Order: sequence, then structure tokens, then C-alpha cells
Amino acid sequence: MSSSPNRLIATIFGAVYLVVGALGFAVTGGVGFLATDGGLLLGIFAVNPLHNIAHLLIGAALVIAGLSGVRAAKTVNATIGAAYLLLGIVGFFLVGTAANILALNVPDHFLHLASAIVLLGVALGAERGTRSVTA
Amino acid sequence: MSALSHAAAARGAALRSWVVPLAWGAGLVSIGMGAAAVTADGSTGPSTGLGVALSAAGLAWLVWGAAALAAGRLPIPRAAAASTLVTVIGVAALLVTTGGRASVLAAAVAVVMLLVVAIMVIADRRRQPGSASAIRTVPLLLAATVVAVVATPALGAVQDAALLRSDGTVIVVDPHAGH
Repeated sequence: MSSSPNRLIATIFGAVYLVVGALGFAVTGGVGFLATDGGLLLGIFAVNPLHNIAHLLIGAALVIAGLSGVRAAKTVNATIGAAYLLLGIVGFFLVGTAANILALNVPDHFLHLASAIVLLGVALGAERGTRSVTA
Repeated sequence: MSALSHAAAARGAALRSWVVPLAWGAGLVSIGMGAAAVTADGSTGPSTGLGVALSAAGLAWLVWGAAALAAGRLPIPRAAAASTLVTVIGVAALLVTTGGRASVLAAAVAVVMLLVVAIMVIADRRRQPGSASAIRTVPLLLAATVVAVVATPALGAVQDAALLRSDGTVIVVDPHAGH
């Protein structure tokens, strides 16, 4: 696994998102499932229960793909990276509206944007000999 | 592969690890500015048209970056370098037509990132050509962090500017509306 950037990144990012998702429940005790104003994880990242579940699902998908193989890791990295890139734009226009069902704030956007660039960049640019499986 | 071409390929890979995140950052800010111009209160015909065009240009930068990673080299370098100038002109035109309701900070960030992309693309054209190669992970992590640090406040400023009325007051959005 250590020789595959896609598997390495998928596993590390997946583990981080699993931890973040689990820790999120510690600060969302009294927060509504779709609340637009969430609890603050580590004092800066706004999360609500739906956001925590999204982190857990994304983390699980990344870890499973990273442990499975290069093709799976590339596919999941590309899919989640593209979704985060889309969220990088749409998310800003949701802040302060009733549609902000993930309780996104600016530090969330920073984390999502950085994750998008790394996941998509590694999926498309590293291990060019291995083609990802597209749905 | 000779040692010389191997070194050239490694330099190209390192350069792509930076130029693609920068192009994506510029693309995201351009899309954000364009979308804000379309959705802003009191948006006029010219600003709406420019907003659509700038969003399309931003999308093109996202696609170009993805193509560069997939191909292992920077595609259509002359057109890409020229397109940075076209996008910069689009950003400037949007600032003029929206009458101060487009974010100057976002425009500055987009212009700087586009200029760096142009310089890198031109530098890549002038270096010794190497074979296509995969990007390096560590420079990519570094570039992603830098671009996210710069692009995030710029995109936040785009949203803030989009919520300004033509008289300079701010539209207050009730997050609990509809409940």
C-alpha cells in the first residue's frame, strides 16, 4: 500500500474523516439533525448530526477503498474529490440560508476545498498507468 | 529514459503539482464570481452575461486542470496562456459592470492565481520537453493547502458581495425562513 499514493491518501484521509465524524457527535448533543447552526468541532468547524454522518460515510468509503486496491482508491478519491469541489462553490451560496442543512461555515469550506484538490489531484494525476473504474 | 529526460519529467511533474491546484483555485473563484453576478440583487443584462461567461471560463479551467493531470503534461499550452489573459479581462469587466457589487478581494485572488498559472505554463513550454509523468503527492498536498488558504476567503468575499444591495446595504437572509 505504501507504494500507491491513491491507497495511501484514501486510507489517511478516510481515517481522519472517520475520527472527525465520530468526534462531531461530542459537540452536537443538542443540535438538530438538519440545523443550519451547528456545534463547533475543535472550536472552529461547524457540524450537525447530518454532517457527522456524511463524514463517517465518506471516511468509511475512503478507508475501505484504500485497503481494497489501487483502482478502488482512485475511483473513490475521484468521486469524493469531485463532490467536494462542487461543494466548494455551492456551499458558499448556502451559508446563511435555510438550505444550509450541513451547517457549513468558512473553516468547513477550507477543509473541503483542500480535500477536493488533494483527492482529485491524486486520483487523476498519480499512478497514471492505472485507470479508475467509472460508473 | 535517459537521466536528462528523467530529470525533465520530474521537473514537469513538480510544476504540474502546483499549476493544476492554482488553475482549479482560479477556476473556482471565477465560477463563484460569475454565479454571484447572475444571482445578485438588481443584476443587469451585461453583468448577467459576463457572469455566465466567467462561470464558463472557470469551468474550463477545472477541466483543463483535470486534463493536465490525466495526460501527464500541460495540454494546449499556448491557448491556456492566452486564456489566462482572457479570464483576467473577464474578471476586470465584471468588476466594472456590477458597480462595486463584485468582490475586489476575489478578483485580486483570481487575477494573481491566473498570472502565476500563465507564468508556469510559459515556463513549462520553454523547458526541455520530457515524457509524460505522474505528479508528486507531497507538492500536491502543499499546493492544495496554499490554494485552499487563498481561495476560501476569496469565495467567502464573493458570497458577501452577492448579498449587497445596489444601495450598499446588506440583504439579511433568515436561515429559519420556511420553518
